[in-house]
Amino acid sequence: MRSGGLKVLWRRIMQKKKEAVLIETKDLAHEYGRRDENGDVTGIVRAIDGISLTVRAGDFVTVLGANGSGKSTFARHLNALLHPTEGVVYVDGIDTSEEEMTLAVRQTAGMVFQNPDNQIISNVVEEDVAFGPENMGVPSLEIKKRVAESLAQVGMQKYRHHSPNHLSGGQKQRIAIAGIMAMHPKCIVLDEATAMLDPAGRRQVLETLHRLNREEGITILLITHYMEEAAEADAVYVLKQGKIALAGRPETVFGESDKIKDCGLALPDVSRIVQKLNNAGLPIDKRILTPEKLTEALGRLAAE
Amino acid sequence: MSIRLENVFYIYGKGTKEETCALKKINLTIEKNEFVGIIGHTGSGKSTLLRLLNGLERATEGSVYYNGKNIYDKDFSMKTLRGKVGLVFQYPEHQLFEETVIKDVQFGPANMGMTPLETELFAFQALKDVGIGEELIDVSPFLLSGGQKRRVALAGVLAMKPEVLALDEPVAGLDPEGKENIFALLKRLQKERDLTILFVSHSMEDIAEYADRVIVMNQGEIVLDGEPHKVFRYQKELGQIGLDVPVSAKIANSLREKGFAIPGDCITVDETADAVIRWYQDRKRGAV
Repeated sequence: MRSGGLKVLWRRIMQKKKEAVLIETKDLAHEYGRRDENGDVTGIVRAIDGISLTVRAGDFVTVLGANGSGKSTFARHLNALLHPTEGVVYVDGIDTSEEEMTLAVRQTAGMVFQNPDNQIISNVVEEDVAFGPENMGVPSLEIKKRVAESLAQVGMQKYRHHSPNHLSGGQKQRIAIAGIMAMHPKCIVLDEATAMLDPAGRRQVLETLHRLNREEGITILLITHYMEEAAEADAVYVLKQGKIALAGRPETVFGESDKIKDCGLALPDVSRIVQKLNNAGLPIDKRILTPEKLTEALGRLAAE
Repeated sequence: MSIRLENVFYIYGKGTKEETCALKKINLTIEKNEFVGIIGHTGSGKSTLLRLLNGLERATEGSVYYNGKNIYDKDFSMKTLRGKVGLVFQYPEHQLFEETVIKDVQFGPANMGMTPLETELFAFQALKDVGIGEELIDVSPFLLSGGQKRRVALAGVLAMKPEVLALDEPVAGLDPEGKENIFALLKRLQKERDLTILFVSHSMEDIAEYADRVIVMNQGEIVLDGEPHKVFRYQKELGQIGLDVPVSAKIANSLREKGFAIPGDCITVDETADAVIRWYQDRKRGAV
């Protein structure tokens, strides 16, 4: 009786532990062969050089890095588009190098790419969103339900009968996200998915991601070189030459302005203003990252 | 040197069900040596406008004048115009194709009918201008980094000796360092080579930082046109058409609404920070 109780407890602990970590990479390295025009390998590029990190289920994580820092290569590992040269990647406990598990990995961690036009394949929004679950063999009644649900989740139900060609970039990216949501993933990986969008489009996509994270508990891994997009993340990793150069809460990471610059990135404008105010002797908390917080802080200063 | 658009309309798919008016009654003059930013949400007509300037697209109605000459006149040479107005597309590095950097840059001037000597000279000069060193000129362009490729692509246009550069989102996809390099280069070309520069951007911060004049487009029309400090005063109106003001302007505006003595024309990090510092120092002085 007692031992049976222990067993149940143990299983629960293990279950919880498994749920807690969704993505884990250990000493992940990736090498590309550099080839000449005859296809012969002339050199080796180590795009990722020993990345170890864990992402907990339900987290919103931002990976920052300059061009060529290895961030896109890293993203492709989480979706089993690439396999490690060295080290391991676990997505929801699955080793991504096990080829027969590739589909399971991709259903767990869906990926959104940079160019919205390269990801849409259908003439009707609804059909595009249905593509993923159809390929998974989901029954058609269930597909209908999922398509309606996921379009609602990204706020695009109005457009379900529209042609994606006439949508804006931000709307197209939301359709791409809906297509992933319809596969019921645990995680969405976005590789510079806002880089080609106008400000309104960027806002739409970011708001959608934060809502999915908050309300549906979807783990988000946002890969970008816009530091502003990291301001509201739970954790931030900054990559430089394939290695993690900085990691931590956004407030901590953004405080390291010299290291940020060294990584080829730039502080968000709000942080740059705060820094200037600090230098001039204004007592403003240097961890402030949003315009609203800054005006509040200055309001308090004025009231003193 | 100036470019003038008179009552320009551009209509896609005229006479079909899909007929869309991409540009509506555009009247616009760009003077020599201006540095002009163009903003507008996706589909507002910005890219179409750029393409009209070098004759790549032809206006459905209206006229385009280059140096006072109507480019749609029969005796006007479109080929010369295309050399004078260099168009740089989005992600221009996707169009690199030659075996070596130098060959790629020479392609444009050679096609313009320049002599081999001129072609070589202009290509070398253009690569020097964009900061691509001699050690890279015989390398395959595909082995370069994203920022370097972009600069090689730009050199390919500069080698044709244009008077005007029209760039569609010249820094899209580049990291902050790459972006600063490109804008520094464009500013230098404006000053040292007397170029006129027009660029389309989605970043209000870049416009505030670099443009001397900003044109705001919405649904095929120019809705605002002027010095960025003036244009960015219209925060509400810009918000209504899917645009924004720079973060620095937003902070300055909300402080002013709260009763702070902050001038109404702060649009860059430096301007807003300096204004707040001045406010703080005045207040301290007043308290003493």
